[in-house]
Amino acid sequence: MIFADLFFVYFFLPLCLALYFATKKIRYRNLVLVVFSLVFYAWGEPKWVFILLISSVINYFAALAIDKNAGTGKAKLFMALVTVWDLGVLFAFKYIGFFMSNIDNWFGLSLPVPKITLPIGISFYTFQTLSYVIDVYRQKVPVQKEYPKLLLYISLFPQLVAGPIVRYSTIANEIDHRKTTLKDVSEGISRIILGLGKKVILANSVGSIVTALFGKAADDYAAAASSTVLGNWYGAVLIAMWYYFDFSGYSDMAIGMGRIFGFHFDENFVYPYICKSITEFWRRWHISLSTWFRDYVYIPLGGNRKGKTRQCINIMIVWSLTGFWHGASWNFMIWGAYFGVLLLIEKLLIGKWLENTKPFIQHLYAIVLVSIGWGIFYFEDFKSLGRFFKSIFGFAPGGFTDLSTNSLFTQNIWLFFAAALLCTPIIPKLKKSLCVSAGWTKAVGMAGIALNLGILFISSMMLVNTTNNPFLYFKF
Amino acid sequence: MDNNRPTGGYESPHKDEYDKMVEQIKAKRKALSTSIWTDEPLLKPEKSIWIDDDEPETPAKKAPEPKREEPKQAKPASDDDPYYAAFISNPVISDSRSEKMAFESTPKNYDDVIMPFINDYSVERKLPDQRRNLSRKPKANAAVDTHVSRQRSEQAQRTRPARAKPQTPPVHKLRSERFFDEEGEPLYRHTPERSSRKRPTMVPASEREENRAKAAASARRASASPLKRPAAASLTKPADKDSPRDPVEKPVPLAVARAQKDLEFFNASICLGAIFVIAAILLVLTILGKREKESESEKRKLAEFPKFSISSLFSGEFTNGITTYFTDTIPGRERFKNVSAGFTNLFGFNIGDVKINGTLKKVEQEKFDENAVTTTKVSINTAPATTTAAPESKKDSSSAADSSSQKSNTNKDEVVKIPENTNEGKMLGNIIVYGSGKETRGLSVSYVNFEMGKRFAEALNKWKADLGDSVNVYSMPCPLSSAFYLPSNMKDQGSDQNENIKNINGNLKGVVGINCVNNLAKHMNEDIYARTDHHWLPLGAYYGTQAFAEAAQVDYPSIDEYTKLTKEGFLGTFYTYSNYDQGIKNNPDTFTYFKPKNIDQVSCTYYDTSFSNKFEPYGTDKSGLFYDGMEGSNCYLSFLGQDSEIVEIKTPCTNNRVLVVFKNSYGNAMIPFLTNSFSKIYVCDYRYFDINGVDFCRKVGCTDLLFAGAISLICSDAGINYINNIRVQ
Repeated sequence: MIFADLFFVYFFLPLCLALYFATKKIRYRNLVLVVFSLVFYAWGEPKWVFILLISSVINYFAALAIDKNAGTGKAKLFMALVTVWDLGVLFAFKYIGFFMSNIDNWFGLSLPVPKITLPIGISFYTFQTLSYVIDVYRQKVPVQKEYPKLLLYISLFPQLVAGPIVRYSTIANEIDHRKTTLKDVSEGISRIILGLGKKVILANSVGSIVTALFGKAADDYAAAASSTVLGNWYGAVLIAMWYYFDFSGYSDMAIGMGRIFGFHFDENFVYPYICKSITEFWRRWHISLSTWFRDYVYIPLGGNRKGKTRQCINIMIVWSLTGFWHGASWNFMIWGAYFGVLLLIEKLLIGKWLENTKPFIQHLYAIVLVSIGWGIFYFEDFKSLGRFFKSIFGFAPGGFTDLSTNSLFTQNIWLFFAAALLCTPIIPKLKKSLCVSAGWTKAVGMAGIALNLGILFISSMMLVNTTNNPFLYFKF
Repeated sequence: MDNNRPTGGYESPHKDEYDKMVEQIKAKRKALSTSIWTDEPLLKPEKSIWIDDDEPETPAKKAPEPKREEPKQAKPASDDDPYYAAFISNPVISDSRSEKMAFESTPKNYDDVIMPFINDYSVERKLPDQRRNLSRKPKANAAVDTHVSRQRSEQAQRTRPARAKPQTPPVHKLRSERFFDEEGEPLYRHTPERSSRKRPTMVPASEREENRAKAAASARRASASPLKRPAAASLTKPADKDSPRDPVEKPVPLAVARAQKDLEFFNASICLGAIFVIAAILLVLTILGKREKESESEKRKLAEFPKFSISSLFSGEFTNGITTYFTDTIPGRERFKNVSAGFTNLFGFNIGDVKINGTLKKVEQEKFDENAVTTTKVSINTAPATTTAAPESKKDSSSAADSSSQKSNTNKDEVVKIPENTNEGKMLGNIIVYGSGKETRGLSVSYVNFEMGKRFAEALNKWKADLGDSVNVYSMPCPLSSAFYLPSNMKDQGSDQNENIKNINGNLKGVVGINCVNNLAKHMNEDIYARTDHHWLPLGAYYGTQAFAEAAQVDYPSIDEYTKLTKEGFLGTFYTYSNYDQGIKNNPDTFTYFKPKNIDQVSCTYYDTSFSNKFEPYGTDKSGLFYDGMEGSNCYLSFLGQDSEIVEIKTPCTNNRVLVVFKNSYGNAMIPFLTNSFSKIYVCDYRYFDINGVDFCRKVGCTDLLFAGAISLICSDAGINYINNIRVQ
């Protein structure tokens, strides 16, 4: 099941909320959440829900064992085993095909390349579970002795599929003691609606423009073969906006839903595109992932404590892995390494200069580099990637610009400006600055409520259209 | 400041301490801004260890480390946090609202990015609960006894009297006084490790100085980090040169706080209420069975509730089916789609420019080289059919292949040049639209190319080879309206249909190729194509069929000999394909169709697609040829109705020639004009034909076999496959 779907919003969620708030006892509430989370996951993956369950059981016992043998070599052993299991599961489902096809290519073998459909959310919940066990090993969090509660943590449906990678320490207490105040409900539901709007209204629309400009992986990026210079730049910026609204929309919905249930997740996206440097970008983009890699890969590797060279190597390793986590394809690793290199450059070479230039240059520098990065992220095969790079430097197959690029731009110009506006915190700041008196607060608040309703209705109507499938008599 | 006192008659015995404490806390929060998502105060976080830490860390400086830990860590392990314990024992802050008001402050520095709330302060917010739970938790439940609760209960026993007693410890220092020095620096080291169960160690003064300096340095750094939430140890913000301390924060006025509270209530109730109400309505409607069943604009049946079975459950079909069903059959679906389409139209504007959505694409134009191919002249066998295998030969001998190019295109009159259409065309949805008002016209383009044309011709050649000389085979790919009306700014879209038809004809062997483009071009200014539908109008079908009739050498009366009937309000498929363009909707076509004079002597028999069972059609006129009741968007179904049938038409014509037509929908409009041309006509749709085509032709005594249909369909991969399959199946 996905969040941006009428069935979820108008059946699953109300039912879950109704059952959740029917009781006051936390035990029943947790039970409701676990059941609904498992149903939620099994809805989309009726077979692979068992991997989730098995993984959680293994991690549960491993954490208990590590806790019991805290400080001894046995704990290390269990830690290693559990790491192998978690990463092995991830590898087996996500990367085995990539691995085998590369082996075949490099060594000229023809071993079978398994085609495994990736269970949704596996990257997220494996990392989440692993973070729990590592934290137990490092004695940062108390071990969870009740399996249902651990299962609740792992499978909590707001953050299971695409949500922030929530650390156990964030919600350890809230599993047992949480209270939903009116404020939580109000802000939670506002957040949910905002996330839904971001995903359905903005992300889907912008995404369709991108596929019009560049084509999709499925059709080998056919449309990119006739793209223009401006078209490629426009597309790269649009991809940036598309992924931001898509991803942060889901994160918003996750945080909002968590809020209603009484959980407080950390922010995952904080207006990434107002960053002034790549360093800052990564402090604002997918925060839960970058902190995960920092805490569990970078620091164990030594971080910055083993000299500058080692630090550079560590950074490159970590960023390549970060990129690779996003998908089983070389371009993702290149994307990660691209940012690793940029971060190193910023840190070692141009950091001081960058801090002291005009903000306009800082912003421009950041946006340009980030957009190019998204281009790398989007094109999964090298031919299209090469073509993209040639195009953005002026050698596009379609020339500088053409009719279709111009029209795509004018046809979506208001959407573009609205999306750009919503990438910045201007509106929240405006809202804050207007609330100077009770009267103004009320007015702004009422407007906010009306806006919420509007977003909800428009998103719902646009969701009706997702199954629009006219019997295309033409069969283009 | 006094406004922040809790109202409602609760007179706290610690009024003054409370006020002082509140002041101090506010003072500590001088550089905070508030998030719009929550009203909790935020801290400007520290720089990240991630990248900018220039000084390598030494073990001696472990103290700052806790600051960089995951902020949430403070919370669960904070049960052995001394501040926590102190707070618990301090009953003053018990009203969550007053808590909030105490912590709220107006944003300090608008240049800062509004940081999200990374909630250390939920510690305080949770206090009432914690207190409650603590007192309720004397029983050591082994199963639930985590380390945390153990610690907590220990703490409770250590620091807190029983709940029954009045909660006023005899000598009570303010939390701020117990745990912070005059500068506001923490006195105790924050120890999150659970293994150290000793009392917290004090932070030496020198280190406190250091921390202060460090905090000041980091506070001055430009880039904000949302990650780091300094733990309780650095709650205080030491002297920050950039943002001077504001000792008295402007408190949120009570009225504003009240208004916010009311708004929260309204927001929560209205939004959640909306969701629940809609969910309930949908549920009720589903139970009552009032969901949509089919979509007129999409011309398909909508999804049905999936059948349950263990296998369908495990394959995901059942669950996905439910989700699809839920969305697909929303009551009022058409209206919602219209609104949604209207909304998406607001995304930009059209200055007569092109709207592209990715389905239309530029194609390379191929030009048929008229001199390259030599074709044989095909002679028409006009003999009446016999059912024996050996046909009577009245054939003319086919002439040898000429070296000079002779096209099998029978139109030898002058080629009409199609004038350029200077209107600006725009793409809406999947089609091109130009014009306005009654001139609004939608166009669909064809992507047939020379290679497909060649394969189509070869398919027809095989038919001719199988049927032999006794049967005349005709190829008639009908042009779409875009062959005539394509605006010049769109000329890259789609392939040139005229050239493609010429190419097809050039590849035919023994098959008569018909190109009706010229014939239609002569009458371009008449209503030969629908503006709101992808079909041609009956008048266009007349002119197209005229080309066929000439090639077949049959009688063909003039259009005046037909009875004209008119229906208004024909809104065709382009309404859907243009994403519900209102310009098209408001200017539907006038559907004029023609009945031949001899219609009373025409009789039709309807068979199913295996030609074995007859059935009675419903809604036809006496002849069975016309469905006069069709209206609105169904006007085009006025001839012969649906497509999955075989219709045998007996006409008063006496030339004893039997025509078999394998057609798609374009062919339907042609049939009424052939009632004077062939004695018997068999109309079959090549997509719905279940028996062997060659046998069928022999069985019915076919003398002329016509393949007619819109070029984009009949000459597509699917069409060519059909044509090949029905010959051999």
